Amino acid sequence: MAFDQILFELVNGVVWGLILSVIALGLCLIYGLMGIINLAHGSLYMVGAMCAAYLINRAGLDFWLVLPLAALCVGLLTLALNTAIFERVLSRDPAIGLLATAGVFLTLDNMVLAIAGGDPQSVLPPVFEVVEFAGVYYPVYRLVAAGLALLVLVAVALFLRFTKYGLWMRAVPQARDLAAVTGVPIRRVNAVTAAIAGLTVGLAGALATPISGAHFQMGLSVIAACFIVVVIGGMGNLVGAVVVAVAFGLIRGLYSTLLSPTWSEVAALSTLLCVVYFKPNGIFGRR
Amino acid sequence: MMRRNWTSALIDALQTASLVLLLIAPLLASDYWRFFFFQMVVMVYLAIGFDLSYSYARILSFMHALFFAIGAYLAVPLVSAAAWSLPAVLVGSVVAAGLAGLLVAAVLVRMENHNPTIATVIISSIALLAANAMSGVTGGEDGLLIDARTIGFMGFQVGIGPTVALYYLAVLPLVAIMLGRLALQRTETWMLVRAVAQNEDRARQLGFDARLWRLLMFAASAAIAGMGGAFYALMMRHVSTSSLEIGLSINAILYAVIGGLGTVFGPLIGVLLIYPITEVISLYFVYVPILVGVVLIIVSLFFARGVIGTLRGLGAGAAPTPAFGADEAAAAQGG
Repeated sequence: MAFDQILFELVNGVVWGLILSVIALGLCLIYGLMGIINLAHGSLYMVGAMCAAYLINRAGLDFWLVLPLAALCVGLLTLALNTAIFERVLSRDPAIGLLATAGVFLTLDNMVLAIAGGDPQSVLPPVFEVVEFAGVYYPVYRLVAAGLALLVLVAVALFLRFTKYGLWMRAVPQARDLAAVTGVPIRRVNAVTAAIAGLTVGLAGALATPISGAHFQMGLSVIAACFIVVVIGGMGNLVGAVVVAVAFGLIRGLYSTLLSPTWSEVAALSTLLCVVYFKPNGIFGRR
Repeated sequence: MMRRNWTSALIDALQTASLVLLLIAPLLASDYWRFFFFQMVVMVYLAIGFDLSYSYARILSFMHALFFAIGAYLAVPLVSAAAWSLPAVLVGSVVAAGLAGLLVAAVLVRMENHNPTIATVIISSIALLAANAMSGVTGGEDGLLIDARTIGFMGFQVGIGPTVALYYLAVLPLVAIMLGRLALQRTETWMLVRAVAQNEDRARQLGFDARLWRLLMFAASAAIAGMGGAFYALMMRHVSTSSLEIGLSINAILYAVIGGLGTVFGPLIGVLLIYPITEVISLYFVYVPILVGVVLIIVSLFFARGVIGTLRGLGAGAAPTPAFGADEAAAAQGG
């Protein structure tokens, strides 16, 4: 096995790990704040990617303009889901939230199939350059995407740490009643959380299109990775999720020096599933 | 109470009617309708599998389609290459799916909160990826065909496909499972199973091995789904990786929820109510899963107790019955 190929796959792994972190971020936030497991989260990612593919290929918009637009579309969609579903299942049996979001998943995936058809869409990257380091030629766009993903993660971390809503978002799950009594507008905090979750996952979908293309079932292909990252990272633990996402990317990268892309995904997921066996409730503990 | 009487009479009538319908339908109807009913029978197995897992192993599973697919895929070589008889094929599929369930449950019952459910989503996604990657073995989305024409049963040869004989051979075990569950509900063992499902911690404090019971119930639920899969393969003479898709599991969940979770006849009633509707709609509208999704959203938000649970709720006046999935069979039996 040539060193440069291993390096290539490892860099690829880190890039995917960072994008995966941004995808999982919204899942983690919504679970952390509302205790809802959003099974439709992969579909939101898919909607972001399909929006981007449509706006770039059909409407002919510039990629850098499409990024915020796709994020905005998914952000609004998630806000609507928050009003229609999340708010209604908040304090009820968790199974209700799971079933309702499973319904959302079926509906969204098949609506996109009905509207856009089942053919995979490909999108040209906005940057075609290739950079050379240590004998490896690497597409610059992927590094840009990884950089943007990192930027989003840092921005959300700063938001949570330094803003009023960020403080509330951290406080409400710890003491819901106390927060309500002291005048925290819980419904608005929920809406802000849903909006951030939608914006980030939509952006991640758009960022991923030049790398992985867009397809109505692409949500299904990230949902396993997304969930395993959130479970092992410790449900609702953002830093844990990012660490595990990057680790997942690296493991998948290592496998893909030996296996086909699908098998390396299967192998990486199975490896992390073994971790789940020994640490059924995550390695970073519960929040 | 008068109201209690008419609702429980209504429930009884509904249950008896659906059983009778299942038993006489293929005699009255055309080949098309027999095929249609056969598909419903297979779905009832899957829905019962989900319900047992949710109501008694306390695992909301999105992976029962996988057990269904294991049963279906195993039936193909057993029928075609090995030329096993029907009972042997069924035992094979049931044991394989049951063992897979046991293996998975060994992990799931150790998890807390929502993690078991998430794990079922992860496992079923991995399985679908792997099955499509192994298209040499699984046939991928094109699938595998059963080329045998008949299968042996107690010295007779039964036609493979949606035949009358095979229909009854599929319905009888199903009826046996439902009536068996009805009979079991009066035993002390079942009381223990219910106790574990309702409050695992308390059951453990009382000295019962709660995890073991949940493990066994999950394995049984997987085995029943696998049996449905075997009949599906025999009826369709074809299996593809599409039977592993999470959408199939979600359909089964919808049937079980609509019929009423934790009830003996709920899965059957749910299938009889929903399957024909989706089938008719699919004649005019290709994207039925959109509607299934919308129905699932509405049902889970506003109608989570299902038909039997709602009828019982009416019968009990405004008595606050648990909103979701508690052992409603027990509630009704206990009076």
